[in-house]
Parts: sequence; structure tokens; C-alpha cells
Amino acid sequence: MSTETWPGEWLRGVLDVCVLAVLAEGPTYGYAISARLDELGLGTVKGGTLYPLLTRLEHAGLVTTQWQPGVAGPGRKYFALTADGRADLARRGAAWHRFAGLTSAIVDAPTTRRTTP
Amino acid sequence: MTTSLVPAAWRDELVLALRLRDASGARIGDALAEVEEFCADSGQDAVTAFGDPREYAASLTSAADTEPPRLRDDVRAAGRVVVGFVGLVIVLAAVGSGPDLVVTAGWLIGVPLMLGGAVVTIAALGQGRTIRSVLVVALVLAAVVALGLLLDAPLATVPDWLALTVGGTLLVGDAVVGTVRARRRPSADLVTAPGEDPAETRRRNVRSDVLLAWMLVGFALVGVLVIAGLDALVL
Repeated sequence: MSTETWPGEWLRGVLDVCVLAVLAEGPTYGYAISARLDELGLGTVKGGTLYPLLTRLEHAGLVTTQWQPGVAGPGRKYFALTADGRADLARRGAAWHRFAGLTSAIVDAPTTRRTTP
Repeated sequence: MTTSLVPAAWRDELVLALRLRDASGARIGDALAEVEEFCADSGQDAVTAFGDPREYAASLTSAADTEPPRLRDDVRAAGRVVVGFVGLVIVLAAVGSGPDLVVTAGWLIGVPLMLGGAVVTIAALGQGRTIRSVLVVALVLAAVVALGLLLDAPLATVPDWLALTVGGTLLVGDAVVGTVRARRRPSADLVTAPGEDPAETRRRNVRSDVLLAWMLVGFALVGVLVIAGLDALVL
């Protein structure tokens, strides 16, 4: 369970690639995705944010869905990455690495930039 | 299924908001099941996990998913309603008036006016403009009644048996066409849970359309019985 709360606008940018990364671990259902993101330190992702995102990923052909009947109570909708989803995760994941490295360098470097104009 | 975590009012509001955004019955059933599942798993209620149902419906349905209805669809939908409706009016007028049905200029102008009004009403409803559609219905009805009262010079007299035959044919014909259409391609779109048997869903959609197709015939029968009952009381 994460203790830090990240700004909403940061999460909006990164959430889809993080959901793809969680799904790369194996097919799973809505609340398990939310719990896993929390466990990884991203914070609580509400159903109202998660399902519209999963719907967009499904429409884009990056995930497939399948309902599995529940033993008692409602069934569960499982989400699984498609081949396109894996390719998208690799592409966007690499871009995020570069972007995160770039922003870290920008944030860390003011003193260095001042000394070497 | 409704659990205490998903209050009936929240659920109803979500269904309505998704319907207004032209989501299919299957998609609405899917969204409801997702909400049920997430709330059951997380122990959160629907308001905490999903927020306002209207805003949630908006975030689920992007603009790209829905296309606005075209005028041709509106005219077709209105045409289906008006044929049966004209039949209903003729049958009730023939039963209610004297021995013969008197056709006036007001009547002849009123029928195309009703068709035009139905097109505008259906288009306004399709765009979610409920107040405008109610206003159009009120104005058209007022205009048709006014025309009937003002332009009451008889143009022709039709014997009741002929009027009943024509009106009844329009009514029953419309219902039969509606039944055949319902069996071939049901337009009803009931909310269905994920995994429900598609054949059973189709059967329910057909039943719903067939019931709608025969609704005006039902109205006509009730109307005729009421008029006959009133006549019997007066005599």
C-alpha cells in the first residue's frame, strides 16, 4: 500500500502505460489492477478512472476482455494484453524511460548548468 | 443484481445517462456488471469508486463512439408511427361520429402536419432536447385541433364501413409490418448482463418490438370499447 499521493496530472499521463505494464504480468481483473498499481506505489486508482481507460485500450485493440462467472456474486471481467498491446508497451515504455531521464536531468542540473554555460 | 454498494438510484441514473449517449443494451449491461464487480471486490460503494453516474457515463462513452441520427432515420421512424396513428384516428372518428365520416380540409392538412411534427419531435429527442420535443408535440396537437375546428367545411363523406376498413387496414397493416420487421431485425435493445445467451436476448428484443407494434391496435380496441360503452350509457 503506497503512502505518497502523486499529483493527478502526473498520473493521467502515465496511467495507461502502467496499466499495460501490470497486464504484461498476466491477465487480470479491474480491482486486482487497481490493487497492484497501489502496491507498486502509484496510489489508489478508482474504478471511475480505471474502466474508461481500459475501455479506450480495448477500443485501440491493445487489450482483450473476457467475462468469467463468479462462484458467488458478480462475475469478473478479465483483461489481457494483445500482441499490439505488448508492442505498444515496449514503445511507450522506452519513451517514458527517455522522458523520465530527461526530466530528472532537467530537475537535477540547475547548478551544473550555471557553472557550465 | 443490485447490491447495497450500488444503490438503485445510482444504477438507474447510470443506465439513463448511457442510454442518452446511445450506448447499446449490451454495453450498458457490461458497464453495470463492471461496477458491481469492482464494488464487491473493493468494498467501496459506487459513489466512492465511480463518482457521479452522469460524469462516469460521459467518460465511458467518447464522442467517437456515437454518431448523430440522420434525418432519413428520423423520417423513417416518424413514418412508422404516423401510419398506425392515422389508422387509429380514422377508426375512432368513424366509431365516434354519426353514420358517416365527414372528411374536412382541416383533417387533410392535419395529417401531413402530424408527420412533420413527428419528424421534428424524434430529431429533438435524438439530440436530447426533451423540452423542445414536448413543445413541438403540444404545438402540433394544438394546430391540428385548431385546423379541425376552423376548416370544418366538409370535402367528402365516407361511409363508416369504408372508413373502418381503411383505418383498420392501416392499423393492422402497420402492426403486421412491425411484427415482420421485429422478427427479421429487432430494433429494441434491452439491457443485458455479460455472458447472457444472445439467442435469448434476441428473443426478448423481438418480443419487445412486437408488443410495441401492436400497441396502437390495443389503443384502438380500448377506444372503441369506451366509445361503445358511452353510447350505451347515453341510450
